[in-house]
Amino acid sequence: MIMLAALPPWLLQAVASDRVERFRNLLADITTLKLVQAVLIVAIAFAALFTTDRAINWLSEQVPRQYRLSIKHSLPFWRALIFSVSLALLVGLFLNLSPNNVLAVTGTAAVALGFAFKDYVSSITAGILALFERPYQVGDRIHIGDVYGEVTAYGLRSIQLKTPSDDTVTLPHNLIWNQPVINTNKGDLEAQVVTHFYLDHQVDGPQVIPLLYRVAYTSKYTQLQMPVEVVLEDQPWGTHLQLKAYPMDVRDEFVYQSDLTQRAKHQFARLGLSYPHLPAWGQGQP
Amino acid sequence: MQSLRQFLSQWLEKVQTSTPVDVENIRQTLDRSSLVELPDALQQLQLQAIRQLPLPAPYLREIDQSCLAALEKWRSQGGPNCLVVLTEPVDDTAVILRTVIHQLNLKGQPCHDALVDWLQRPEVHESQLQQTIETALEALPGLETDSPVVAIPALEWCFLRAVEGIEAVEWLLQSLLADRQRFWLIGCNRWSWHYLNRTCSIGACCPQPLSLPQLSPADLKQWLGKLDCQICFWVQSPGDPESSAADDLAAPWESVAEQTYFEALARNAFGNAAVAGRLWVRSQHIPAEEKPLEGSSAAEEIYWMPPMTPTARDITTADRHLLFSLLLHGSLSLSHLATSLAAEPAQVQAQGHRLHQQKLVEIIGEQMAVNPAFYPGLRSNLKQNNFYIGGDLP
Repeated sequence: MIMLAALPPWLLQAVASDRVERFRNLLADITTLKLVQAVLIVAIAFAALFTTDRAINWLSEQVPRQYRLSIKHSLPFWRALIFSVSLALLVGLFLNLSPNNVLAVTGTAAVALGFAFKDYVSSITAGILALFERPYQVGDRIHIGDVYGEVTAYGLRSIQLKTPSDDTVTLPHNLIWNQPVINTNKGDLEAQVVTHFYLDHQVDGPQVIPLLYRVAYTSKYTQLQMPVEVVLEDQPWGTHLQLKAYPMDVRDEFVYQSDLTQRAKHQFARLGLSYPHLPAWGQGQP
Repeated sequence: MQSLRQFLSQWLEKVQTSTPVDVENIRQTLDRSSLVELPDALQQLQLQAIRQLPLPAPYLREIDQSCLAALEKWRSQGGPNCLVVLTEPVDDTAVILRTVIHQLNLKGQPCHDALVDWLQRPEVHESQLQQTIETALEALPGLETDSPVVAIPALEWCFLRAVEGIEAVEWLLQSLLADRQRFWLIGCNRWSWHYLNRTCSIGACCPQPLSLPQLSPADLKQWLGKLDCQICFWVQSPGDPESSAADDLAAPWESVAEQTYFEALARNAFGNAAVAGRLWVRSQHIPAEEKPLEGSSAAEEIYWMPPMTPTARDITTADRHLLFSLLLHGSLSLSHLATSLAAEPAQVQAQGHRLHQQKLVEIIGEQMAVNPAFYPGLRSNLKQNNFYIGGDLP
């Protein structure tokens, strides 16, 4: 500014005129027709996004289970394509994109936008990286932080999870910079379900373990091509058993767990297997 | 948008099955567009006649040869004391094995039916299944009295997909492995075998099961030719060779149209006799205006349409579980089906009734079973929906 003030007035005027001229050259003529075109482009882009979302979700539910997740995974790419095409058309309408103009625009705006939209850009960058690293995809069931659910939408800035209690949670992509993402199925239809059982110390392990294997094998939800495992662990208060098995469809995770629990408990009752007796606390006891 | 959605919906239904061609669509391309399927009464008469047919000769030949070879190997070289014959879920395994038992007896190789008093799966609680099997095996003659070949006509009758139902077949497996003094001929539904192999390692007692051979077009013609049926007109699909009696046709074909028909039948039925019989009946059409006399066992004119497997439309995930359970066991009563699905009988009954109305499920007495005509399409559908089906077709 001091240097500019030192310039003679005729030179100052020339510099200012030059900048105005450059700005005028950068902007294309804004006509009514172009405004109408821009509105149309935006409207069509929104309509295309809406239609694509609906079409992909509908199509994924119509095809056999094997293809459901593959179709859902394509949704972010379609959305990115629509955004890119729309943005390119809009920019082409209102800006004269010569190499000099592009440099001028980006150079001027970068610093200002960088501070204002730091987190937004961070989320978008994380979203683009996640497309290639794939910590999660549409259809996956993931834990991020305290949230667990199925990824139902993959936007530029965020993802949407549908939780088991039918809540929709929106999470920005930039969470992956700092938080672990626990993916239970990683693009597969099956995900391991762990069902916990607690029995008394007196219970005979060789009697219970084969029983739990049969409980898993006879469930209509079990994917028999995946392994079934029973893990037994002794605890001070009793015996902790974990039945690890896979349902045919990860969406049946909770109804599968209920089925295993219900049928196992029926067998425990049939065989007279007892549950742990927890000690009474309080009443002067140490 | 609505028509596009409808188009996509129809296209997707076709993708879901391997042979998803609808008879309605084929009929529309033909000149004789006023043809309809035989009335139910006539179809039932035809099906009854098919059930009374002797087994296809290739089935008996293959099982007989394999059984005698396995017996010889067991006696001379100490080979496995067991031969398992795998059938498709829509086959009547017990009928096939009992025919083989009878044939072996006629040839001087005595063979005892371990389940001789069982006409179908015993209607007992799964906790009593093991006891029921024990009672049946105790009635077997002693080793010193007879040549020790024992047959279990239908192993799928000996288990139910329930915890105690599996215990019964595990006990049976232990008994078979322990009893090396007898040779066991076992018939089993393929899907049941794969399921039991996965859950109980039943394949340990018989590492190389025998599958029924696929019937060729000529085999099917020879088998179905035993029926007294009239061939009036062969109705062809567009693109089929002209129907004419060609002198240079190889036996047993009398015309190109006949050959084309049986080739399509063998292909669409995957060479399975039960499926082929159903498609054969469904392919018979009569003019819509013709009404056979009540009680008559034949129509005036019969038109033989290309045999197509029907498509199972609008089946839900719950329907797939029910259909898979029926195919896994061959046939089930309502109470056993409810046990297998861990569901309420009333709910299963309503579901089964709806599938029965769609002709996907047949109810014969108290037993429910899948309509064999739908088997190829259902098999493909269940496989694509991640069900554990019985391996690939032979």
